[in-house]
Amino acid sequence: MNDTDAHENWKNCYRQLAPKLVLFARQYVRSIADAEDIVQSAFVRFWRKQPDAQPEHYPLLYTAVRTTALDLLRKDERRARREADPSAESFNSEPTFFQREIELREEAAELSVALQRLPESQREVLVLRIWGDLTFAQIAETLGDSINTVASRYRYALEAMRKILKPQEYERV
Amino acid sequence: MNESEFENELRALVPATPSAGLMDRIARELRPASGIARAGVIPQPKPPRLLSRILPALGWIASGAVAALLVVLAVRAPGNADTILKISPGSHESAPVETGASAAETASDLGEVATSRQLVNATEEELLVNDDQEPTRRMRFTFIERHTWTDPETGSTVEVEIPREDVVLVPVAMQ
Repeated sequence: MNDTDAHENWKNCYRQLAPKLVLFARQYVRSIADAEDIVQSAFVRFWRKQPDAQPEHYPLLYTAVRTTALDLLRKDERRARREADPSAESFNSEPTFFQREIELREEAAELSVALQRLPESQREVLVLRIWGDLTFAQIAETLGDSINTVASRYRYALEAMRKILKPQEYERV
Repeated sequence: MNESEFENELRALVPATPSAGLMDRIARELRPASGIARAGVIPQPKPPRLLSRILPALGWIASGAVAALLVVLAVRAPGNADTILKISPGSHESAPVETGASAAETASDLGEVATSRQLVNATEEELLVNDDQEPTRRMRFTFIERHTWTDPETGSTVEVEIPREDVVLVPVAMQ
């Protein structure tokens, strides 16, 4: 494969996955700029190592993003403490995780807030499953957990999100 | 609402598009190296270490020594007499420059009679800090080193001039 093919490959991959990767990276950091830095670093490292990567390899990008994000947090403990402090930087001070067409703006904002209220382990699984379109097996590989663990975390995450976003359904029950 | 409907509802919200700059930054980093200049931060050159500053000067000294060795070998080696660099006439009588075997025989009889060093230039250069964190001044001395061989039978001489450059670190306190 020549340089031009490799160049086109990563661009296609980027167009397909960049929004999802940034959304996944944002689970670990509070600012879009940091999330994009993480994606940049992971994406570049991935494509340098695997210039011939095919779509079936793309799920590895989520692993690369997660590893990069966790490395970043470990390297800078002060930063990690700041990220963990909800009062330090309001989630709402940044644009939402999702595109905000006028009719969906309110839902997008609610969903972004709801996601932040999930435990990290559930949030990772939910984001990878719903917006990353990964299978449970691929998620398990990305996170280094068993498929059963991932599947149950997903169910807990969905349930938690419904309680947050659709409290009326629970009030009715 | 069942689980599947709720999942679809969530999927209906599309992740936000990253900034346009992200793709540009990635493109710059992944750009094929051949023939395309890479943009980005140009690293500041680090000041050369003490050893790497001295090594070039040592190279000069070494090349001078090698040149001198080659000259000596050329003068003494049989069959290579025609590589004698310069033969000057003796003080009162001149001798023709010989080549080939006869010159080799002559060269083998030559005895070194004089070695001299003429200081051509001395330059004070920058202040450095040595490994013991003491300030030192780098001094560069340029010499012409002359070796003279004389044939006792004919009185002819062979004189070789070798340029030399010595770099010396002198403690500042001693200046």
